[in-house]
Amino acid sequence: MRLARPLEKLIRELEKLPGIGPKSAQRLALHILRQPAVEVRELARALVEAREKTFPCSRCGNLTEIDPCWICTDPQRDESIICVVEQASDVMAVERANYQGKYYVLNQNPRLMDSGSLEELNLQGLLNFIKGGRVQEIILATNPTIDGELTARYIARVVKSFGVRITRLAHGLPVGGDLEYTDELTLRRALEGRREI
Amino acid sequence: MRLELIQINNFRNLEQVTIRPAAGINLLVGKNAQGKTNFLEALYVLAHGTSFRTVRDSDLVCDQKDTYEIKVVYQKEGRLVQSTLHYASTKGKVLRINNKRSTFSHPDRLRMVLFTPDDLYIVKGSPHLRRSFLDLILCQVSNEYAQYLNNYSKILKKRNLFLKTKHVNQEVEFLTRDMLIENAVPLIMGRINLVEWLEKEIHSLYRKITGGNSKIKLRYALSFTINKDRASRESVSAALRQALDEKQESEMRRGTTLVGPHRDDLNIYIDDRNARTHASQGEQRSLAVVLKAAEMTTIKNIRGIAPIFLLDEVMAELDQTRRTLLLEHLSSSDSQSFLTTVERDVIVTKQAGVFNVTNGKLFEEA
Ligand SMILES: Nc1ncnc2c1ncn2[C@@H]1O[C@H](COP(=O)(O)OP(=O)(O)OP(=O)(O)O)[C@@H](O)[C@H]1O
Ligand SMILES: [Mg+2]
Ligand SMILES: [Zn+2]
Repeated sequence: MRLARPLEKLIRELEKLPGIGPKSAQRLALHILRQPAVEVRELARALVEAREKTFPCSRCGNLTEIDPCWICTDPQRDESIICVVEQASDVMAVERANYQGKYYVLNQNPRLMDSGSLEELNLQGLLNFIKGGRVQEIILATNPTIDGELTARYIARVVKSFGVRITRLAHGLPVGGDLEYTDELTLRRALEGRREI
Repeated sequence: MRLELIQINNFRNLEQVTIRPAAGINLLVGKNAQGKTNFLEALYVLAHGTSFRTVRDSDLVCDQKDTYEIKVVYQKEGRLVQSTLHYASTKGKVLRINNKRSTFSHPDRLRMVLFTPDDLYIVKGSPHLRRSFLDLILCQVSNEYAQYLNNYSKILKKRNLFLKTKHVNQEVEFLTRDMLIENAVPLIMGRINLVEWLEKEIHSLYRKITGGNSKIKLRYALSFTINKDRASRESVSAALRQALDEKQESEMRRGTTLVGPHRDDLNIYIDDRNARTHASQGEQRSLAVVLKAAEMTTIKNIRGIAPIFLLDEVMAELDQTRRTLLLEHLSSSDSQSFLTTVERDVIVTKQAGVFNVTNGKLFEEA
């Protein structure tokens, strides 16, 4: 069967999204076609706007629409603690666990390290935070994978000379899992039980 | 644990099988190519989700059919458990334990130890077969061990990649080495402890099954030297670190990690001679059977539950005396066992179940 060409194009675009197979793409596309035109336009605009107006914060690397981001400038947040995560999606996970400190997002897939060049990790921003003089503790919340562990140890080595306390999320995380998918309760427990390295 | 009812549908050439096995020994007697190994394979697949003969699920479905089902009822710690594995070519495998969808890591799952004629190679084959013999037992009794093993192999892969790409940052090389050692030490300690335990078991089992008085010794052979009589976490860790230091240049040259648990071996001695190079065929066969029997007792002693013992063609490997002694051992142990054989002339105790296997059908002998 041949589909109307615009519908076919929509399905093909949706299929490119992660976690969406041909069947879900078809269902989503047909659902969109049943919506009022204004709502669809709204969705389209949201997509484009989100893409065009968000960018990594120049200080912490988290996704933001203002620079520096609202977490970096929020006076209520504890600036003596910095939580280092791999991706912006990890920030959302840690936020749900009621964390009140600041972040540093590596925005890098640590699999880059397969070349053996951990130096490529951009740590300049983190060092700037530390040199600012208010940081007392750094929580290394990279994923509990081999790559995440290696990254954490590398960062610990780099920042050790600055005399800040360095901790690593300790318990309750599934080994080999992704931080993003950890549920809030486990993550909260992990934040409480972090161990010093 | 003890199987009380076994039902198989369309698995290999077993189109329809229903039996109530005996509590102790069960003999499956039949000519070649009748379905004896298929029967053991069905039980094994139900317990592990994978076969020991093929990786393709579709091989296991009876020709011209689309689905197979294996269903058993077994006793575990005084309770009855029902376990069903259903496979459909369109949907894959679905395991149900007590009618609930389940996984092969369920605590109530079936536990089995399998002997096949290929296990001879544990004794006479290459070191990796002996390492996986140890690892398989340890993974069954400790999830922690399984985790270390998984980590170790990932770090090893990464480190070897670094060694191959050469222009590696020193810092990164040190960090990976630390992680490698941290995960290697528990593997080595676990294996050393297991080997000590197995030695005692195997020494007495071997005498029991052969009726002789040979002395069996098992030694865990490290791939690096250690200057202590007794290995401890600390001494192993220090020795491995030193060995990696010393090997650094040749590792860079060869692009691979040369020492560690992935290079260790298990040496088996009969009367102080290495069984791999010096034992007779019959001795090697008896040793292979005994290694598996020791795996049974180890799992039973650590987990507190006796697994079910599946033995394929074990009789063909042994002379008449050893057959009789093995059967005596099996019937005196409290484990249920299933043995295949082509010859009916084996002496069995009264309580044993005997099933004739012909063309995919099982007939119980009165
Ligand atoms: N998917 C299948 N469907 C139907 N028959 C199959 C299938 N797979 C294998 N068979 C057949 O099952 C038969 C019995 O195999 P099995 O390995 O159980 O024999 P056996 O009784 O153990 O014989 P032996 O004593 O030679 O080891 C073989 O002839 C084989 O061709
Ligand atoms: Mg066979
Ligand atoms: Zn920011």
